[in-house]
Amino acid sequence: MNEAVVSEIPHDASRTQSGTHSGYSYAFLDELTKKSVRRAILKAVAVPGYQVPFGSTELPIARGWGTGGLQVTLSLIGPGDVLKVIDQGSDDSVNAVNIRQLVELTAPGVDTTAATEEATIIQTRHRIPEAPLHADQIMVFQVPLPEPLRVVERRESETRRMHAEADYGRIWVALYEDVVQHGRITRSAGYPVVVNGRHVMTPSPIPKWDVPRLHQAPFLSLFGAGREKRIYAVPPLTDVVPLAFDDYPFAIEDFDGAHCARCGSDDTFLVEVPQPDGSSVMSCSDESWCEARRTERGQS
Amino acid sequence: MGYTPVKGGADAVRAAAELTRSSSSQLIADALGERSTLDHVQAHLGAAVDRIMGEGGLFAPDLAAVAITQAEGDMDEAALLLRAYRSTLPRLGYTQPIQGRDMRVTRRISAAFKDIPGGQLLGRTRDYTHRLLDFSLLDNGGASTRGQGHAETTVPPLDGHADDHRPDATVTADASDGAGFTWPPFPKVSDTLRDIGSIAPLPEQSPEETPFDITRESLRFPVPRSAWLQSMARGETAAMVCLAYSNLRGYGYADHGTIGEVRVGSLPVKILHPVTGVAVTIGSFEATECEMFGPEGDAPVTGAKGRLLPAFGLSYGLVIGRNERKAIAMSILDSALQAGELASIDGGEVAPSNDQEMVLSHIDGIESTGFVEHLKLPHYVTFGSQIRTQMSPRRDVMLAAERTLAGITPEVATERGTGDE
Amino acid sequence: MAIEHVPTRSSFAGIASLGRHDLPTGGALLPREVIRFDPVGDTQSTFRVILSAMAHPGSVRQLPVACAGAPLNEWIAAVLLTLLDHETTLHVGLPATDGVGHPLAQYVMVRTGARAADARVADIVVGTGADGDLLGSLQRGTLAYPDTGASLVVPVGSLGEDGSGDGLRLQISGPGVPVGHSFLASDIEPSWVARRTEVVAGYPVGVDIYLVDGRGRIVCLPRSSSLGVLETETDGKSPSEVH
Repeated sequence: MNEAVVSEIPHDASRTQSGTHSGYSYAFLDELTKKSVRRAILKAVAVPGYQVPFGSTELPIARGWGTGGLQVTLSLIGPGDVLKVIDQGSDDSVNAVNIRQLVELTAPGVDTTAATEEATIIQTRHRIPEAPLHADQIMVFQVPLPEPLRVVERRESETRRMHAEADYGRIWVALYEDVVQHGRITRSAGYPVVVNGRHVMTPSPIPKWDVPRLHQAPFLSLFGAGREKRIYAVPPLTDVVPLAFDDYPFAIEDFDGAHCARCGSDDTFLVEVPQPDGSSVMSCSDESWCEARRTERGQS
Repeated sequence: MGYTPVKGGADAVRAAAELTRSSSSQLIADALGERSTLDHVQAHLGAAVDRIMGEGGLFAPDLAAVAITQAEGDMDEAALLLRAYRSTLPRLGYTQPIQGRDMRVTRRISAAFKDIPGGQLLGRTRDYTHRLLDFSLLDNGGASTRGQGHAETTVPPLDGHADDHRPDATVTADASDGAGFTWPPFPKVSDTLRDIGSIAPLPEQSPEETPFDITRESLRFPVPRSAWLQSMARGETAAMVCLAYSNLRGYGYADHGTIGEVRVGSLPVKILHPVTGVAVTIGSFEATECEMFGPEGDAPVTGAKGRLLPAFGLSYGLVIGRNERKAIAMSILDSALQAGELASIDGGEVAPSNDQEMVLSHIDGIESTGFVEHLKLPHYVTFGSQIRTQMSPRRDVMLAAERTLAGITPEVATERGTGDE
Repeated sequence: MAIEHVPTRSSFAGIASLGRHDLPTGGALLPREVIRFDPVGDTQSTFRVILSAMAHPGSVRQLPVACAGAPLNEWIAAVLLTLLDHETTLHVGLPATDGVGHPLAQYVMVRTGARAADARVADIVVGTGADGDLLGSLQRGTLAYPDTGASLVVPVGSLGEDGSGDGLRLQISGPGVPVGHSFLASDIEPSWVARRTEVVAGYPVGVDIYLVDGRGRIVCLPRSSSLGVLETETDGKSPSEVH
């Protein structure tokens, strides 16, 4: 039976990498898949902000739950790397835990951490850590919908043409109409940006708060959309400018002077936490940053 | 006074996994006593096994039974398990092309003709049973329903099993088995129509030099026919039925085709021997094939149903395992996409079932269920950002000057902002 | 450090094309060959260096592992073994020594399953910094799919960032490049640089270039970079750019 023959062949018999989850390749993905992801990454870096189509294999995690970011991370990672995984800024989020465990299970020689400054690779869903990042770190963003023009055009064949011809009129019109209707631009997380003065890109659903961090950043940003099968990138020291108007400029979220209820900071992205008594408190979304602040202030 | 965030994500994940493991095996073991769960699934849930093999894109009945058991019958979850496993298997190569004619048929019908060479072989089907719940299953575990399969077949079953899912270890080139029984030939109905000139002859050469491989490349629209056939071959049954149904009801070119033939049976797997270069059969798998005759592709037909046209287009469905409704839906959608290709040349709006992007982007069950369910993931940062952006419009504008980058208009070159780095 | 080569998935893919492609049979014929380039660990570490070089164009990076015993340039072989597999095509546009084909091409194709192709359609091409015609003939992708543009690997004598040395001083700017950055590269002709400018003028279509020297140093030139030859100061004139 066909199936029996296949199962006798070791999936990756590279015995120089010992101790992996039995029968699976180093970092789970087979070498063919890693190479195709790596080639896509290199082309993505060569054309900043442009979405490179790639084969995108299935993983033992549901589509829509991070298979793109994970394929990027698994194609990068090797012994000596230190991986941080966050979701909404939290290392402890169940999805971040699940992803981190898959890497721990299949990539011996890789350490994991919650401390941003120790990480060499940071896989994230929808946030950039508050800590300043440096040139040796790589941010890997999980992306649900990689096409920023999808809100104005549902067909992929047409959005491809719009990017090809830099025909971005319709998204500008959509922003203009937003201003006309609401008195200001109401786009929030996942705000569209122009990269390298050429391609309009979605930075993934990060809050507006994080968007300025991408502009002329010292670090490399890679974006993986597994279900939609696209990879894109922003190299370091690259212009990333949000779409806005002179008289209606881009503005980050305003927390009305609120402070984090745990560490007291007023300069981080805060999230609202409803309390049992009907009130709510604000708290840092970046929990490891918050924790470090508390330690600094002798509050732990 | 201070707020303490809830911790314990890792513990929660572990506990949830434990619960699923213990409850499924516990319940099933209790219900079945000594009996093997996997035997039960294969023997009594054969249609489920076939369906998820087709949606997972992997012919492996034992593993499909494992997936169904592990997923406690959640079919989308089971298909994901199988598809995820499939992606870990090494790609050894490609088989030789095979024809539906090569199928060892266990069921074969045609709606286009009353009698066909080889006969209408009804085989094992529920189509003409009365849909009455069988309460005897409550009393004696279903022994009374077991024999039904035998009565309907006109051909002795292979190896004494009426519903054998296991592929044959050897499929011989001739049509006879060891007991001296010879299979009647089952010529293709489409071949008959080709002989009398009612449908176009098969092309000399395949229109595509190399078939597209959807497991290695992502789709770039418009895609060639091999790409949409592959996508549908492992598409989610319900999604395809939904879109095919919309087409039949009028959302799209509407004079529905006629099933020329549906055949169910086992197809051989052939490869070229690496040393001798000769084609050899290394195994077989169960499959369902549907060929449908529809209006010729170059013009939408508005005639009455059943009106015989001088020439027919052919549309095709092929799925792993026994899944007739999916194979039929696939051939309807193949016809719709062929028609859609021609319509799009005129630049007109097409109905969902005629639209390549609409159909192919939404029929993969692994993708669609994953994304729909991903809404359960935390979205409190995006939600918080939306809330913040709706509130405080005045402060937004006041803070803009201090804390943000200079905005741009399309014509103006960008200015460097004051980034945090 | 010798590491036993054990068959990996990519080499099985090589064996089992089973008559479909005109491929050599990949690693399966060489299962016990002792090579010095681990297909899992060394491709990963090599890729990371290549990625860093591509993200910081004009910065000189050091490749970690050479493919000892490979023809022409052991470091270029390492780069090719990292990037190629049986789904990609290769063209080695260097003079062949025996008329059959360059030994580097054979070496790499046997180990990766990559297929040979004409320069105009190949995914990955090897060519010199004097062959502007070859560079001009490579596929550049389309506006809708610029990623299908080719990658060109160029063997050079030496690469450097500071000080003086052999070759041209090249001024570079664009994404990933600090303002005013330049680097030294030998075996590059000014006419080739000019040709490259023409090839990437239609951004986002274009070709991406990997310069690799004899000591395993690598500089990447994505199509997003602007490159020009700096006149040196030695003749007493002030530096000026030549494109």
